[in-house]
Amino acid sequence: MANGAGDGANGKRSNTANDLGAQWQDMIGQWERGFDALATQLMGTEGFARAMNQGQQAGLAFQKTLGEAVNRQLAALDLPTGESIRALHETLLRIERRLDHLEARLPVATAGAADPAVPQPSRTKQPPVEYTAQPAAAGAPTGAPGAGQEAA
Amino acid sequence: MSTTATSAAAELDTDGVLAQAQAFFSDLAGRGARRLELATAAPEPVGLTPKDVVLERGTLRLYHYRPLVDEVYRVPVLLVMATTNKSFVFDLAPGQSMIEFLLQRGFDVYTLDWAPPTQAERHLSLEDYTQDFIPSCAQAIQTRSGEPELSIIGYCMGGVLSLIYAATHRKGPLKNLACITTPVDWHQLGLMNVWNDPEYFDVDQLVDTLGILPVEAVTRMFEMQRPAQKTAGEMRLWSQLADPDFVRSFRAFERWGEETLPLAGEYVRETTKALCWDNQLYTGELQVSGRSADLAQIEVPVLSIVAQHDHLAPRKATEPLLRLVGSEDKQEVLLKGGHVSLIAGLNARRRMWPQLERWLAVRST
Repeated sequence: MANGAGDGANGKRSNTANDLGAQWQDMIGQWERGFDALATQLMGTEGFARAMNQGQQAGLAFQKTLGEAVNRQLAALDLPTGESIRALHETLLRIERRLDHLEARLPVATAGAADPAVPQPSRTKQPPVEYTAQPAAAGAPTGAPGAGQEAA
Repeated sequence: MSTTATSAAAELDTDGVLAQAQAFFSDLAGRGARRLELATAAPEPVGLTPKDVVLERGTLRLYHYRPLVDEVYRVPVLLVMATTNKSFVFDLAPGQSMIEFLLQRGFDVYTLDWAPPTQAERHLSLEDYTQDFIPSCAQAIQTRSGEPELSIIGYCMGGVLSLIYAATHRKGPLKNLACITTPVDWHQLGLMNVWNDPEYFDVDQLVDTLGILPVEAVTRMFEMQRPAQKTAGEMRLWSQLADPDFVRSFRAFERWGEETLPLAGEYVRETTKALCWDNQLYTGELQVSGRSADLAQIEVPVLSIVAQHDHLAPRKATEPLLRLVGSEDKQEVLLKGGHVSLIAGLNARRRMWPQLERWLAVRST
């Protein structure tokens, strides 16, 4: 998924070929590809993976030890732990969501209005003729990988 | 040239350079102010197509979109979102919405969306997603629509869950299955395979300690695969701040990227071990809830839509899908674009949506 802003919204370019804006866009694209390629080379090594995971393991071990120590202290003081507060928070959230849901349905119920889900359109639509005229797209068993391939 | 003339020319040049510099810094300041304004503005409104909540249970949300035409195809369509992100990427803005497009073309559209799983849901597993959540949605759609069948469109991990559901529910009600950027050979995921190598990656420690894989970890995992993407996106934004369409689109995508979801720990553990390490979806050995999820058992029509420049579900990982399913009616569409632009960018509107609509239309009567 990643940051969609970089992937999805970059399709728009200036109409003028020699526009400075277009050159700038190309430059960004080249820089991005170059940087990513270099980063992939560096991060795709065994050494990087080992270091990254060792760092993560150390962090998790510390987090666990710290969490246990804090929980012991809280238990000794007869205070709720972070986990119990989170559980309470989640329960409250669930109740709030249910209330929101019920509240949203109230106007419909009290006004006696029809449920918007009830009036359904008729389910009789047929595909346009041109769709059924072409076998490749019209359901004839093709089994052909790349049948809809688009040139790069 | 006389001394006076040379001196005047130099003065003119200096004036010109100064004027250019002034214009440059003035423009820069203007852009900076505009960027600051955007950064502090309310989030871009997304998911505006009118809908009703049909099912709401824990992390599960099932939405039914209100029809935009008087006559629809008989078979309703369920979009299954990836578990890492919100489904509003299907409905970013009017005119930039796959859902709106499908509704306008006469489909009855439902979406399976996810709320962040809570600590109480840390034990959710593939079984919950594929043997409870998707079947529950299918049943709710059958009841609501009065139709015995439905089509499913799964995106990324939503496609993986849909495949497992399809393989383990051969008696229906699934009629058609479209998988968008769906990896099946998990040993071809590039950097993910290196980072998740069982020799270094202790998934048990991670899950046992955290319970839920936090948003930060999920976001980092994605961003590390394209480390320059965010900066490049920001640079593009700065250069196109005067283009309201670009800015709107950028902010909607940015919001989507920022609203990544945490993941249930058990689901992460199972996905890592069964799919990432043992590649069981590819080998056909995956068992869910005691049922075989061998893709060869899928016999409904299958459409696989893949992106040429997809770094998260690379071509090598998505390509074997058609070989593995048992369907006779199957087709692959390879399009230009990346993992996200395939479903929601300008390319999606021009290329992907029409192809999906065409494939689905003739199989939805």
